[in-house]
Amino acid sequence: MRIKVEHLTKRFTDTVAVDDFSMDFESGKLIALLGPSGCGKSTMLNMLAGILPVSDGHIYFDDDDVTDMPPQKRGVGLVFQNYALYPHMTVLENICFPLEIQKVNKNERIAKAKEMARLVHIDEYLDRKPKELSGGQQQRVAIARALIKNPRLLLLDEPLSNLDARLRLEMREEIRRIQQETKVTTIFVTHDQEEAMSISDSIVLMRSGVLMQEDIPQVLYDDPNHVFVASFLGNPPINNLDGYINDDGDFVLDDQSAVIRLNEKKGTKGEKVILGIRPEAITIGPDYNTKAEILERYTMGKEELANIKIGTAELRVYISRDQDCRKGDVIDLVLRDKGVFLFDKTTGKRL
Amino acid sequence: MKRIITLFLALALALSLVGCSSQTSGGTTTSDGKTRVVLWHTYTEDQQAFIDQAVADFNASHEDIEVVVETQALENFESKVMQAVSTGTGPNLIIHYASEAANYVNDGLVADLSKYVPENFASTVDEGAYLEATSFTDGKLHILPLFTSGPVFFYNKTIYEELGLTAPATWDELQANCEAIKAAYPEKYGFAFDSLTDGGQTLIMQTGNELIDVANLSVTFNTPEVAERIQWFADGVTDEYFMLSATDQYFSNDFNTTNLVSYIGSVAGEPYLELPEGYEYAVAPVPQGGSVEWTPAWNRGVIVFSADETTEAATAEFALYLASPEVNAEFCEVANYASPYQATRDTEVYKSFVEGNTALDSLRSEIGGSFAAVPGVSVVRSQIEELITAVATGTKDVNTALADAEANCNAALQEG
Amino acid sequence: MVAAVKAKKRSGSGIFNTTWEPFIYLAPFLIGIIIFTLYPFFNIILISFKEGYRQMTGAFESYGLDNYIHILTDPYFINAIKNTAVYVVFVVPISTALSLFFANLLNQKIKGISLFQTAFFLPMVTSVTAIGLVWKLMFNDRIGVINAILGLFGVDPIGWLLDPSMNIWALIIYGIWNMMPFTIIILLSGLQNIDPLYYTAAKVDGASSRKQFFRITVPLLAPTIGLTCIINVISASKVFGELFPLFSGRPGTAYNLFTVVYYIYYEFNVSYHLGYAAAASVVLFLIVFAFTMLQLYVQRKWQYY
Repeated sequence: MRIKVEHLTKRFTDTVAVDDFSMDFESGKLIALLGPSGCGKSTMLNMLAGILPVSDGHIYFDDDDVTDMPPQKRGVGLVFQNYALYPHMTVLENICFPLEIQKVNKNERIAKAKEMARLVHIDEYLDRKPKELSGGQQQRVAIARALIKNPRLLLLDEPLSNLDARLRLEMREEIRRIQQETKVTTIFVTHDQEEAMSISDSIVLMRSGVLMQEDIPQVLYDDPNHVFVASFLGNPPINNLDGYINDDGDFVLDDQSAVIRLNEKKGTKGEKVILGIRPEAITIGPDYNTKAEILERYTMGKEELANIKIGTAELRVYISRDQDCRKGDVIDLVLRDKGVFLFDKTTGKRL
Repeated sequence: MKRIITLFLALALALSLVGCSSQTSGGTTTSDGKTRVVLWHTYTEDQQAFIDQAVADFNASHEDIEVVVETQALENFESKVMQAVSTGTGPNLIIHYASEAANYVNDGLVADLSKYVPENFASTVDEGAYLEATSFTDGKLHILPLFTSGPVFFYNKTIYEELGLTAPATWDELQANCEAIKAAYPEKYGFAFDSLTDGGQTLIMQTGNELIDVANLSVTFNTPEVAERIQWFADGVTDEYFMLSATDQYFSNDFNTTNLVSYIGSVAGEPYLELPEGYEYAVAPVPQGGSVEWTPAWNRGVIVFSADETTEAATAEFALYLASPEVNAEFCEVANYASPYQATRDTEVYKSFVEGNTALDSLRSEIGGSFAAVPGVSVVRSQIEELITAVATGTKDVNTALADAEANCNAALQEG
Repeated sequence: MVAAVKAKKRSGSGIFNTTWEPFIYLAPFLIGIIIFTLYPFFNIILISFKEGYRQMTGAFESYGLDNYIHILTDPYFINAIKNTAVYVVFVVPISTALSLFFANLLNQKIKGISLFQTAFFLPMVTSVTAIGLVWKLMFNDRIGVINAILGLFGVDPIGWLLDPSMNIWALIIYGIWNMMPFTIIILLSGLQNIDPLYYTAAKVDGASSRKQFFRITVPLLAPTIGLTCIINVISASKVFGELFPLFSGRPGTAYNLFTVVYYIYYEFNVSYHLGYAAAASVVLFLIVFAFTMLQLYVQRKWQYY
């Protein structure tokens, strides 16, 4: 199902949680609502679910205007952050509950619940109570419960945040698999950019209630339209340097302690800019005159990280393992084409 | 650490011992050689103030005795005293009814006061009071009478006069009055007994019945005459001339709202009567109507619990002080009671107090009597109330109710 | 953990090891319990077997079952057991159900709810006698508000406090009302412990408020409901003080409404038969104890944790 959101706004007494949000969510995709805490992503989710009334704007499911529709009529399945499984019901009863409310006949709903349980791989635990399950298993039950009524839209609130690191990896693949098997349009909320990048078809990045950028993960990473987008995505994070553009179209640090030669001369002369350099966007070579000092070197498995200093600015970058340099060495830097961005200092927008 | 624990345990032990010893209040000699006498009472306000003053005066004039006053709650006072006395931690004296002393007589826990009173004591006190004070199974003097009280007939004078009625001398007149009141004011009740026990006792005794046969420890009220009187009252309740239960706690409140036109209650209740503007009440003696003239009289006096000789003598001395004319007169005045002693009645204080006291005037103590002071009498009291309520509510017919009450009373009296 | 290790070290050097040290701290409390609870408890059991026991002197003839035989053949005691049972059977379920209803209402987030909460709990801090007198007035056959309301529906005046056959219903109604504030408080605290997310989840699934109440609230509250039931059965079995204000100090208009505790009071306070009173106390204890055990057993089957 395609979801269309028009000028959606949610105001609380003294804050605006979601501000004039408009976009289309593509049908059958797994979409991540990503942003730092307090960015309005959970509010978005709750408005889509119908739990929170909207202040302004409209929500369309395909061609239906569901803005004022109560949650049970929207056909959404909702998975809560802490799962909200009913502690007094068995796994089977929990999964059946939505159908029980719809007064589906008992045999039918049990058959359906078993099918769902098989889909999420918890069919061995149907008679257990939620507290007898691990976090990952509870998550699966919650998903099964949300899916059993064939929702048009599946919403997951921070689905992985309550799991430990190992289960998180497992569950995010599971969510991906379940989504692909069911083909249900799925929107999940997360503050973890890695989680969003790894499984979603598309990422919607929000800040302070405003939609920043929406695209497939790779585009968001490689082609951010805003310094916030560039900074939020990527681990280790992008290096942002404050400076301006000189006569040659190259970048000069604010205190003029160094000049970095740019491959693409996008900026106009004298313009105040932020230069974003992803850690993997440099190579070391003799051909250029951007000098940097190696402050520290770390081994991270197959990669090596180094803290380097250009003028007064410190950067964290990847260097290749066979590069022969040590702490204290001064090296020459080359910027790659990919992963280097210029942003307007005042608006933060990409140049 | 060792020392602290030892200290702590010693302290705990000491505390628990103190806790125990502070309970043994009666019959001890204080460190200054005075004999300590403990009085428990339930009086409040003016009466409490009077007791405190009387005790202070007594202590000031008696170097070797110290009377200690301990005020107790009215609720369950009797069982509290009983508990305390049975564990040896009770008071040396209380002020109560003879029937209360009766509960202790068989176990030898109350003192015989005859050796402390003057030889001519019997002639100084009213006959009825003396008889009751010696009506115990052993015939000894176990209570020193202090005051006499009893019920009188309170009636709404304004309504009575309006309907041309006069205070009833007999129960038949009372019924006629009630019928007249009902006719004029269908929503009002004509009459109530403040205490159904005392009312029942009055009706029974006036038939010439002795109620309790002390010698045989049995009741004698299962007679046709008694049945007729009980049925008469029950019919009055059924016909809504008589009120069985007060609207709130006391009939005096129903009387105050004029919802109830007359009732029989203790003279001590008179201070609580306050009729609305334009209404007045009057007092008359309890109606008669049987073969014998009789009205309840309640004699309260000092009960002295058995103790060692010195303490018992000191307690008796304090009791006699309370019964002395001047003190007795003042006590009667604050409590609105009559005195059973001629000497008291001759005092100026007493004379000025009873003058114009309509309630006390209507108290006919010369025909007054009370329940025999035998163990089990409290069951008889409650059985009489049950008898009357059971018949009045139609729960039992009068003959069954009388037979049941008789059986239960006899069992209680014989068990002692 | 660190603190525990330290404490062990410190006390290890004294004469008392950690096994005994807690008892020293508990001593004041334990001594109180022994003196005021355990001693009377066992003493009453002992007295109940003493035949011909004289309260005043403590003398008795022999040990035996006389007291039990007496009370179990005493029509007053049989009547008391019957009245108490009827009282418990009506008061506990009805007051629990009503309390659940009101607790649920009081758990709503609406304006001025704290005012209502206070109003509902007010009876708990008001004197029982004062409340009893108010009820006595409300039950009055002529001027009482209850008959006035029933009159609006064409019901003839009922002699709640006059007609002995109606007495128990008056007592039950008063008892239900009396028990509710405490039950509401306990249930309300139980309700407030239920994660509101369960209701959100149910709402998304389209569960009606009725469905939410019976499928979520009631099962999740079951342990709390069970607890209040046990406490209320025990306290209802001890019905006694309620009689005094309602029936002018009598157990029912015509001594028809003895309850077990009133019987104990009567034997102890009026007929001075401590032996009978003790035996009746033991019988009451055994009945309540058995009932509580049964309830606990049933409740364990319900529990989800």
